[in-house]
Parts: sequence; structure tokens; C-alpha cells
Amino acid sequence: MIKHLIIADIPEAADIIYYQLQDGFYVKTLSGIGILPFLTEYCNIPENYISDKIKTIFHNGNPVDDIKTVKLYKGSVVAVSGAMPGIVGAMMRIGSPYAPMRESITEKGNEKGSEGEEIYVKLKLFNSILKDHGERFTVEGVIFDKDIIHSIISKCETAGKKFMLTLDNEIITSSETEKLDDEKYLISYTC
Amino acid sequence: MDKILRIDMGAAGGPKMKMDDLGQYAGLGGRALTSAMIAAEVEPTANPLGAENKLVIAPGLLSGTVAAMSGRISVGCKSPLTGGIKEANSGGQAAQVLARLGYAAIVLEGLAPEGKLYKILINKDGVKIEPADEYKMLPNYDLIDKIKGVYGDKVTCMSIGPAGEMKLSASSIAITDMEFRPTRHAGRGGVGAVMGAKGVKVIIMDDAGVKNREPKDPEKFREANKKWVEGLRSHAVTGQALPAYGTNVLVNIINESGGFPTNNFKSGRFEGASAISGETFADIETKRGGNPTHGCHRGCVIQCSGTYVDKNGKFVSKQPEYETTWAHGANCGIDDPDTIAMLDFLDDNYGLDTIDMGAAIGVAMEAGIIPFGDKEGAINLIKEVGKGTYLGKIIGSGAATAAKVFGVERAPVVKGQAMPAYDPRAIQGIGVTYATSTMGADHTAGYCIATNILKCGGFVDPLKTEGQIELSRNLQIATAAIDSTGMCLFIAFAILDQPETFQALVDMLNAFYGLSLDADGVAELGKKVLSAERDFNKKAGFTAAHDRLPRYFYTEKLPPHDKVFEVSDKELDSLFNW
Repeated sequence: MIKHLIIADIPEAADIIYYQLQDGFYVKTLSGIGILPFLTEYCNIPENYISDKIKTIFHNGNPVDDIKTVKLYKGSVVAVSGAMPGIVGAMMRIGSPYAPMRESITEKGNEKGSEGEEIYVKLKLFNSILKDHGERFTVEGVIFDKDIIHSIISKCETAGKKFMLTLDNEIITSSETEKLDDEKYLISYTC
Repeated sequence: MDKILRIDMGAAGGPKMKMDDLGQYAGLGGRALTSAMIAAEVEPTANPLGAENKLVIAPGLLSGTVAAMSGRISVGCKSPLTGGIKEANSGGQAAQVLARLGYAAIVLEGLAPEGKLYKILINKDGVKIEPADEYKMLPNYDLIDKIKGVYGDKVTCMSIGPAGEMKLSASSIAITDMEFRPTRHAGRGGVGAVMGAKGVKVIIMDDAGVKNREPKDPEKFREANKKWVEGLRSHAVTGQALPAYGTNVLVNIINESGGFPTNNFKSGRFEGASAISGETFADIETKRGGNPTHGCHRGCVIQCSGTYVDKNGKFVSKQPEYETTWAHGANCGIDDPDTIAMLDFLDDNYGLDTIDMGAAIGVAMEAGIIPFGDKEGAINLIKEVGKGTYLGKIIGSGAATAAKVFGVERAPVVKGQAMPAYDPRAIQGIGVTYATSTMGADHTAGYCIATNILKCGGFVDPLKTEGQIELSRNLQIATAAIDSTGMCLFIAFAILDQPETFQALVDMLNAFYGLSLDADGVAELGKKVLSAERDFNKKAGFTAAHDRLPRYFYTEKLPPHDKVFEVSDKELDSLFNW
């Protein structure tokens, strides 16, 4: 069970967590799931939004052309973006007519692995997708690696205001977060 | 736009001007005009900083009209950086003002006597050329302040900073924006050095009392422009992504693709990418009272620029572009937006190409002059350029020169010009364009126009794994054509996805000039431009060996994908077969 860290009384925490979503956070899912059902069922992003707004998807750094066939396994990283400018931005789009120009890194969907196991997929939200869905994730709470948790706490301290931290309903100090020993934590904020 | 102003800066008794009609150049604008003139009038083996070279400044075919996005200006010459033909392209106010004043081009010829500096004043009443010794070695912002005191802030300027006066081969020509700041630059290829060699510090243009250019068929033109603007505003890139985040919105996805050159092209991922992303810059600008959505010239509806301010809300620079953020950021291991904005300001102030400066500093970091990530060190290196120290002159001469002087093999250049912000080992198709472009490594040489709309080079099956040669060829042809219209290249995104928006552009050209141009005609224009440029370079001594990436791109694997550049020489050599 992932422990829940709550930051309270510091409004800046909302933005700090929000912009951290560019670097990625974890969403629990099942191995072998396709990108499309992962986004709709586990990230609660409507299918029509995906087809209308999400124009670029990367899986493990590789641009994806077919979001129905590429499957996710342990260690998968998915990044989602709106339409991008520039020739390279155009190349990276889903099904781009310029796909041959980045063919050597295109996601082929050849990866195989065990299916149906509980895994954490790292999700990165960029630009308009971050704007449209970032706040919802931060309100619901997001899962980060502990080093990112340290970074968030450090940024809150830099903001120069007093704030309160609770870990699974127990009050802790900022310095105690340095001793966190789990790999991942759920973090949310409240004002 | 029915006249060409020619000024012989080396004439006996001082600069002499004459007004030509368009003659053989009728119907050309922007890059088509600058490249045609350089190809026809400049000896290809000429010294770029000598009397035989010419500096041609030309607004686009639709500049000076009410057509949205028509404010790009082309600056052409033989490049002191590449040794080949050059067209450097910029926004700002100059294209609109020069076109409204009726000039298809300004051509600076000859060579000013050593130590002489001039200003050129152009308004509705004519042209004056006056000594400008009081402006010697002034940085661009200081120069513009002085000009404001004399001519007000309603004029438009094209100027050089100390780098151009020192004839450094990475120097730019600054162009003022709507706020009369020298933030827009014809940056690439050392065009500022050529202007410096001509002894011209600044061209001051005043369009008071002149009107917009009138189309031959005003009604059709108005209708086409309306559809044009609707198309730009409704598209996700031109209507949303660019206005919200600027071109820097690319940082996150290029980093994710593993093609974001980091620490002088050693890796394709930068750990600090999100700290310098377009999303982060826009957030900082908004919170500090800057502005993340701003146009660089009147008539811009995309508004991809912005205003970057410090913690006290004081202006630092315009919102750094993606290429600048990469060059001074990831390529130098710097993840601090304030430092990047300051470097952007210093480049603009001294008159330097931000891409070649970031690449040169990356090379200096690799050489151990300063360590990667050294923010203050990077700022000091650019200041050295402004001071004109020996070290500064090496940096200001670009990455290729810096690498030779510092003994660094890994110089990310083609034809002497630094590569922009995409590593060709991860994104092989961009490497084809870098290698074969007539301009040296240039990301805008192969911009995105729907190849199947333009029908240039035939239909390319997007599902074929081969095809990047054909795609790069088509993109280069299309880009050359768009560069001739004076349209901002960012229109390409709407054209890519919306054939009716492309048609609106063609309709505007036809309504304005009374033509019946079709898509094939646009492609032919692009081919003609490229052929003239290619022919010039060949005569200047360029061979197939110049159409190659540096050797280490073929041998050093780039993490995280661990790829090398794999496109064969034979394929590269086939690009210009048409």
C-alpha cells in the first residue's frame, strides 16, 4: 500500500506539483494493457479528447503511431502532448506523413511480457494536455518517486512559508521526509 | 514594391545611391529575390567581406499588405560563416515598413572605407545616407535608445551591434519589433558581418504617410485573407500551442524523443528539460507580470512570442525561442530560465546568432574553458564577445571556428554553420536536411508543408520506411517557396492539416498580383530558388563532400536510443535530383 503524504497550508504546492507532472508521475494499471485503454480507463481521459487533442504520444521515448496496438509493461513511460510546431514536431505526431524521417526511433510495438500483473506506468503530461488535465491529477493526488517528493518539499521550503505535512494522517516535519524509505509515495495538497 | 534601392558604399566621394526598376527580378520577393540577385550579381568565389559581395534585403511578396503573418524579411549575401549563399530570415517590423515604402529590395554594394560608419534613412520623401560615427560599437539596445531620442519610436530599424562591426562570422542583423526593441534577428550565417563590411550601422525606416499596398483584386484578396486568418486561428498549433507557449513548447517532446542535444551533442536527453520548457517559461512570465503571448510584428495572428521579465517585473528579453533555449540551455547544461533569458538579451544586444553562440559555448565547455552548467561563465563568454577580446572574437566567430581554435573535434556544424536543436542521430530525417541544405545546418530549410498538397516530388507513401530523402527534398522546395512570400514559416502547421488554408494563401497571392498560380507553380518557384542557390554553392567550390554531417555523428552512439546517423552518402547525393 502506497503511503499518502499531504502538504497543507501552502498554496504554492499546487503549482509545484502541477509542473512536476511534466517530468512524470505514476499511474497504477495492469501489464499488457494498450495505450488507449490505459489513458481512458486508468487516467480517465475521454476517448474523444484523445482523438481530438492528443496528437503526439511517446512510449519509452519512441513516437507512437498506433495507440491501439502498443502495450505497456513494467517500466513503461508514456508521454502525451498536443499538436506540436516545427518540422520535428510534425514528424513526431501520431501517424505523421513525415514518420519516415524518424523511422529509426518509431515505436514498433514489438515488446512482449507477462500480462495482467499490477504495475506502475510513468505518465508525463505536456503543454495543452497538462493544462487540461494536470489540475485534476494534482487534486486527486499523484504518485512520485521519493526523490521527486524530496524535490517538491524542497521547493515548498524555498517558497519561504510555513506549511504542514502529514504522512498517512500523522504529522511529520520536512526533515523527516528525507528519511522516507519507500520507493514511491502518493502526494496531494490541501489549503 | 516596384523599385530596388542600390547603394554603393565604396563609391569615390562617399556612398552613392541609385534607384532601379525590377527588371529581371519582377515577380520575385523574399528569399526568391535575395537568392536570385546574389546568384546573378555576386562572384561565387568572392571574399564574403570584400567589395564584390552584396547584401540584399527584401520583404516578401505579400509584405506591406493587410495579409496576416506577412511580416518576414529576407537578408541575402555570400555568407562569411559558410562560404556559400545565405538567406537569413526574420520577423519584426521591417518587412511591412519597407514594402509599404515601395521597395522590393535594398542592395548594399562595394566596401566602405575602413573605419567609416553610416546610417541610412528611408521615408516617403526618399533616402538619405549620413555618417554615423557617434554610433560606433554601440550595442543594439543602446543604439535604439539613441535613435529613439532623435527619430522617435514610430520608426523601424535594422542594425548591427559590435559583433557586426567587428565582422564576426556569427553576427546578426537586428530588427525592431512593435515596441521598438531590437529583439528580432536575421541571425544565421554572419549577415551582420557583411553589413559591417559595408559600413552600415543602421537603416532607419519611417512609413509615416504611406498606406498598405493595394491588391489588384481587393474583394478576392479580402475574402482569401479572411479564410486565411480563420484557418490559422482554428488550428491546434497556430491557434493554441504557439500562442500559449511559443516555440519553446518543443522542449519537452524533443527531449522525450531523445533528440534534444545536451552538453555539446553528447546525449539526447537533458535532465533539466522541464525547468526550461515552454510550459515553465509561460508560467514564470505570467506570474512575474510578463507576457507569454505576443506578436513580433503588426499583422501577426499567431502571437508565438512573449516578454520575459525579472523577479521585479523588469524587462529582460523577449521570450527566448526554442532554439535559443536549447542552445544556451541543454547544449550548455544550463537549466535556469533567468540565465537563458539574459544570454538571449546579450546575443540580441551585441548582435549575435543565438544558435551558433550556444553551440560555440558548448564547444568551449567541452574544451574545458568553462565547465558545462556554468551559468556565470556562459554569460561572461558572451560579454567577452561584446568587449571584442581575443577570446570573445573566437566565440563570436561561431562553433566551427571555436572548435578549431580550442582543438575540439566534436563541432556540431555543417558547411561551417551550427546545427539547431535536433540531434540527427535520433531524428535521421532532420540530418538529411542539415547535410544537404544550401544554407548549412538549418532547421527551417525543411519545414512542413503537406507534400501531397504541393505535389512537389511526387506522392510519398507515409507507411514506407524509406522516403526521408524524398520528404526532405519536398520540404526544402516548399520552404524556399514560402520564404519568398514573406509569410512566417509557422503558417506551415495550418497548411499541413488544412488544404483550404493553403488554398487561401495561393488565392491571396493570385488576388494581389492578378496571377493564376496553382500548387505546381508554388513548387516550381521553390525549385527555382534552390537550383539557383545550389548552383552558386557549386561555383563557390562546394562538392558532395560538403553535404555530410561531421564524422562523429556516424560513429558515436547517442544515448538514450544509442543510434548513429545511418543515411548513406549515395542517398544524400540523390537529394537534388529533379
